[in-house]
Amino acid sequence: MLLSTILQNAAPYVLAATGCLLADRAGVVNIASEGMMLFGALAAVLGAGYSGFGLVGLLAAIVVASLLAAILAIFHLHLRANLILAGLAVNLLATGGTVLVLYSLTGRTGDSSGIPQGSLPEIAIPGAEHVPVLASLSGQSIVVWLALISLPATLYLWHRTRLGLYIRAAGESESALVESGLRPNRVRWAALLLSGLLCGMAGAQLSLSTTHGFVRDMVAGRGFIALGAMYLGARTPVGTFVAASLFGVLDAVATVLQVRTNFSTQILLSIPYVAILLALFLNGQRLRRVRRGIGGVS
Amino acid sequence: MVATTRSSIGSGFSVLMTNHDLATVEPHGAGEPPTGPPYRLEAVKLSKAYGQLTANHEVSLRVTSQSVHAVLGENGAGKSTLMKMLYGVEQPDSGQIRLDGVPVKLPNPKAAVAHGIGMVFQHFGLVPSLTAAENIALGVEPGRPWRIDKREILDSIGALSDAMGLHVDLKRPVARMSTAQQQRVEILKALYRGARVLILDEPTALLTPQERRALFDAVRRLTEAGTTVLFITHKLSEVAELADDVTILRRGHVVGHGRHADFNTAQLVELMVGGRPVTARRAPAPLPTAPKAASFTGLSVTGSQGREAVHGVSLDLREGEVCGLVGVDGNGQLEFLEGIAGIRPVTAGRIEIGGVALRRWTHRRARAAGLGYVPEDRLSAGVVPAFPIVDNMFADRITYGGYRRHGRLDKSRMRSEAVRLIEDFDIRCTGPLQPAERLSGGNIQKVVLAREISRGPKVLLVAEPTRGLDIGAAARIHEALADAAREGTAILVLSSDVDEVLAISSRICVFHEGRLVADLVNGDEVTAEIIGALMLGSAEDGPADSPAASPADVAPPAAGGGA
Repeated sequence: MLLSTILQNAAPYVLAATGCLLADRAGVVNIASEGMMLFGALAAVLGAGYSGFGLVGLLAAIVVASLLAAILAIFHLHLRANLILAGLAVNLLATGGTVLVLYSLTGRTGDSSGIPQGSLPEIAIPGAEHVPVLASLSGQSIVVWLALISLPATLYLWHRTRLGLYIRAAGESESALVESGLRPNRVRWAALLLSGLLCGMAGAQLSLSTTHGFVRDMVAGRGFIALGAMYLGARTPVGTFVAASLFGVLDAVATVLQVRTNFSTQILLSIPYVAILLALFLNGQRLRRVRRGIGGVS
Repeated sequence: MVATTRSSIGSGFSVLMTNHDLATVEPHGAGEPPTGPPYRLEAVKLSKAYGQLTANHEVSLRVTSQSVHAVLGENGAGKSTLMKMLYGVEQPDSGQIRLDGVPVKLPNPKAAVAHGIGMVFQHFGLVPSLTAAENIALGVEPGRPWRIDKREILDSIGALSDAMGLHVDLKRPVARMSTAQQQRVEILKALYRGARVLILDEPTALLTPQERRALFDAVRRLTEAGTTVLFITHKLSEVAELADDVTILRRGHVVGHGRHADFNTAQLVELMVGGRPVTARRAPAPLPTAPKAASFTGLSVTGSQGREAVHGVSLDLREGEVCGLVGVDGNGQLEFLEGIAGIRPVTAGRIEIGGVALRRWTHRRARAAGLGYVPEDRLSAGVVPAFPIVDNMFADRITYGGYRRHGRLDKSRMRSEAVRLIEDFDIRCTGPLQPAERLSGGNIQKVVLAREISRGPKVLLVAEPTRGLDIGAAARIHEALADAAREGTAILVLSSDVDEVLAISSRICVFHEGRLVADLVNGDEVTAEIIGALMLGSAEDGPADSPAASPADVAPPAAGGGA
């Protein structure tokens, strides 16, 4: 039961953090992850609700979040807009835009209760009901499975593909890419689109599996926490995966305690936010030590 | 035989230059038609100007296939500009580049690479967190789009590095490599891309002697394997050890070229440093009884690479003295100056200004003790570019300079004083509110000098006072320095232009390998040749092919001092 809750809560963090990782290593801090997730969550509910197929919802989430990523890419990479401002604009667009879309379709501004509720397809392992760990895995949504394979997939991308190599180079030494005859902005476009795709998946999981239905501002800072988790994981695939999973655990613990104890709900729900503050502080201390130790590369 | 060359320098200023016994020296631009096989790489009358500054004037260069060709010259002689044009980083204003006799256009480095030209810059263009192999193969990875063939990369680079004797751990991130190893990675990167002409920009600047030897061995092997190497240097010893041919640049002009064996050390020094007649006046030497303005004892300073760059240097300055600080770039003179200024950590020694010893030396304390500092890079370190002249002039003293009234800045007083300084220092501007970045280099320098001199320093440190400036602005700046000296300020001025130091200083200190090797009273008997020889480490540095006029034979008049 707990493991199952953890998986459901961790999947959005893991996917969004991986998305942030790709963009960040390519040299673009994706602070719009929050907005991408939010719009993804709404698109998933609409897609699944009106078509009757969960997969259509997932696809809609991916398309919409990638569109937001494209907007960010156009404004930042081509029109040279300040990244923080462009990212904030995308987030604000998502906050207001999702409510607007919701209202124009259902007449309600708070939630999607007027729309038929779909859910993501689930993947069950036959005969796993009585095996301890597998039982929790069995029956999880397709996005949870995608989150689980995101780590090996990212590692493959990192070390085996050109795109991964270029992404790692783009964020660190643009001139090295240019000197090698490559175009840094193309690499960043690819990384941002992938980032949008992953954030869209994360949003779909939130509205079609972890909870059912869209509620305004339902992402509740998870996109920002994912960004923090990526830094906490020292901007590496494994570190990011572990840190993001940790926040999934905290979320799950908060949810379970909320149900089973009469501990103050507000305090319980603040656990992940307090945790990210603490974690980033500790991470900052670590980085300071590292910087003091190594002079850096010219 | 005497070859007389008339060369125009900068803005129409003409200098008559006499070269003795240099049979192989040709006046620039007077090339005879090439005979025999075409040169591997040829530059024909390349010119390049940045604004008013002529970096290269009709520079011609001929590099024979499979040779090592050195481009020798001082800082600012135009070596780097020439190399950048050959690698497509900069575009020549006029002239032509030929490869194997065929004219080529190099609009960007990619085109140069496509023509088989590779370049290793002084500051490497590597991605720190990528491994050596990933850096070398970046952009030209073998394998399918979604799967890089790592084995193929390691095998092919491994074979290349074995063949050339350039050994590096290919799986290690370059961030964890030494400078020498990173340089090897850069060379391999160029070769992996098919470079057959390799340009090395000051390849030994950051290497230890052992690493240097290893590099030279590798360069030899490269040429044996068919590569042509062109390297930039200002070290005569490297020309002697490595080069087959040499082209000497001074102030953007080719002042000599030919087989290295045809030159002796004295000739190379003269060509490189120049025997230009000194026209400007020398600052009057201060009376030996003038009080001590500052005293530096046993200073050791850490350089950018974390290594010690200055080893226990002692120097006293008297009031009204202009002390010139010279040395070949990277020999510690800049670090010495920056250490005194409190910009670099001083690891050992004692600094006294006006008889007061100071502890925990920082730039703020240095200023409080009566130090003025004109940094080497005037635009990025000397001024806040976007701020108006007036703010730049008083930025150092708004807290104590009496520019405060009722807790606010007294802007009208600042402005009226700025107007006075603008007149005093002849700053050409539209007024005190013009942003510093809109001024020409010479006027920016005057703003910096106005600030530093008007604060009435006991000691004024000046790095490269007139680099890149036209003659008029340079003269005005020299005048301002002389005026400050007359007022009793002790001035320590660093310049890579030996002629400038000879012209303005009353005393000259020469740095070599982090030590003060000579401390001379400036006079008519002190010439650029003597200084040049001292800068190059004199005796131990010269190739043994010049038994006659070894510069070390000329004893410096007041040698001594130093560590």
